[in-house]
Amino acid sequence: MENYGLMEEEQLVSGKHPATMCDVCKANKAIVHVTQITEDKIITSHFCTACANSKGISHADKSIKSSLYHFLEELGEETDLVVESGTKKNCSFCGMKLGEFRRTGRLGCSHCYTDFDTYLRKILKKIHGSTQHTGKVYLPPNPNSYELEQKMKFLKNGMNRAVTREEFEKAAMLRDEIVKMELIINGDQ
Amino acid sequence: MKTIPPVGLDWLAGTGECSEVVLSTRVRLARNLQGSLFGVRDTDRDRESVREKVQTAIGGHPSLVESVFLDLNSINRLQQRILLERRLASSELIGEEETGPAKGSALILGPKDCSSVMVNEEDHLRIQTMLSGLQLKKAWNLADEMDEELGGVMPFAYHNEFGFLTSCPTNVGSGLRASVLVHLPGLVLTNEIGKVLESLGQLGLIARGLYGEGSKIVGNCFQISNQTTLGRIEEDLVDHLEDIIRRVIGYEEEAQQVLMREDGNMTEDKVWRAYGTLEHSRSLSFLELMDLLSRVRLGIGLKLLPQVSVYTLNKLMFFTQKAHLEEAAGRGLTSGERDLHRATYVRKNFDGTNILDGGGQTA
Repeated sequence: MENYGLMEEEQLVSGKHPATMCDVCKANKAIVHVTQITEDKIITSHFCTACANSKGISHADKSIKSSLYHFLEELGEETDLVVESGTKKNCSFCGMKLGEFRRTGRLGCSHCYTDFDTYLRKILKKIHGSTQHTGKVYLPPNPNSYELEQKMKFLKNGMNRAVTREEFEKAAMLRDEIVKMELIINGDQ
Repeated sequence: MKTIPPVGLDWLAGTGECSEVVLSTRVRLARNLQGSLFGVRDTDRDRESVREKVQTAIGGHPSLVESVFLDLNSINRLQQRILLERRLASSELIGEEETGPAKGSALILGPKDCSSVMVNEEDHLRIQTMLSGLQLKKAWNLADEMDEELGGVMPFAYHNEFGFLTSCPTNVGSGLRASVLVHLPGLVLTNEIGKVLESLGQLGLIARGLYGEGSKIVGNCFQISNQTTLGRIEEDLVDHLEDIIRRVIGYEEEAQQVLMREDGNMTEDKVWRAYGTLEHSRSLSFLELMDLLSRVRLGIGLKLLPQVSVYTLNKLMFFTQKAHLEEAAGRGLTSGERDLHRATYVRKNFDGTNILDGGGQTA
């Protein structure tokens, strides 16, 4: 959720979904928002402070996180998880449970992407229509030769693209970067 | 007390392209540090460690050292709310009223006035650039530049297939969300807005009210952004959004012409009544002000009020938010007092002299 608006009246500032009412009592404004990812859709639930408390979610920021776990874990046990073979149920690095992720929509660490690979691919396909990143290639500090090579490929494609689109200033900038990269690569050898 | 540098105010100028319709353009990139737990799993210690890593990395960087690193726990609540109203910090970053920001929550302001980075929000880093009017390419290039600099000094979580890894898989890949804040009174008044918003969904874009998902329409303002982040290169995502926004602007201009053609006198009356109310009110609620500003902005688009600048309207909308009014008053204000202070601010800044000084550009 992007919070792009100007902020003013209290009722508008306090929640991330300001005009939303609590799903349970329908009388109070919702303060706590829970996003669930199911097989084919993303559902967001909204609770006011009182209803969130009665479900074990407390208002304070840090305790939202910790008690949200238990709340979501409980929910997770009630629904049957269809976990395909090949997908682990827990992340081996941070301990995030697949069920938890399905409730919160948030992953615990970058390793979750590897451990929940099979399941995530299906989700990514549904959300984005693709699983393959085609945008900028990341070059970390102290890159290895594979990373340099990938970055080089991306820059060269970008330069060709800029030329085709007649964006010559950009093409020249990319050419300079390519020259710089070549120096790094050759210096390594 | 720390002073907050004047970052995030560039968009007020109303100088960008199509600034009668487009209030501001924003691009944000979501990034995470390699090896650190994401927000949902981390502890205070993890968050502090992320903050330290980021602070150390930018401290030693030749072009980032010019920026201001602001630990949100080192400033008072009013300043935190000012940052929220400036759209530099999210409500998640500044935390609840009772608890304040979580440990490690920070902001990097600058080095350019339009760029900032939220530290320890949903993702470790949220790089953002905000510009006036429609300037998507520039906003993307500036965010890209900032990303290159930060990514060169601290290793990001990156996957060869999935791209930049984010806490929520809806942001993975490019981590890019480009949003444009547009004012569409013509489409709302001619009841065409529903059709337009619906078709945006089919084009992979999403439209929200001024306050985000599910919120009511306030001041006929909408934020339109890309919905997907994976599978297309950043330039394509940005170009696609720009292409559609230009079409939406075209529809809005047509709708405004329809209003003038079919009920010109009444349209003109609405614009001038709003103008008069702004000039003479003694008490103004935020929602009423937003409604009046929308009508006057429509008047600018229709060239009915050539002497009013977009800059003045942006300023009236911006500095009359709750925390900004309280800062100016030097104390907390009740809701009723706020309405009085708001009307006073509007009257002071909306009289003939100030309108004509333009503070800059006439639309």
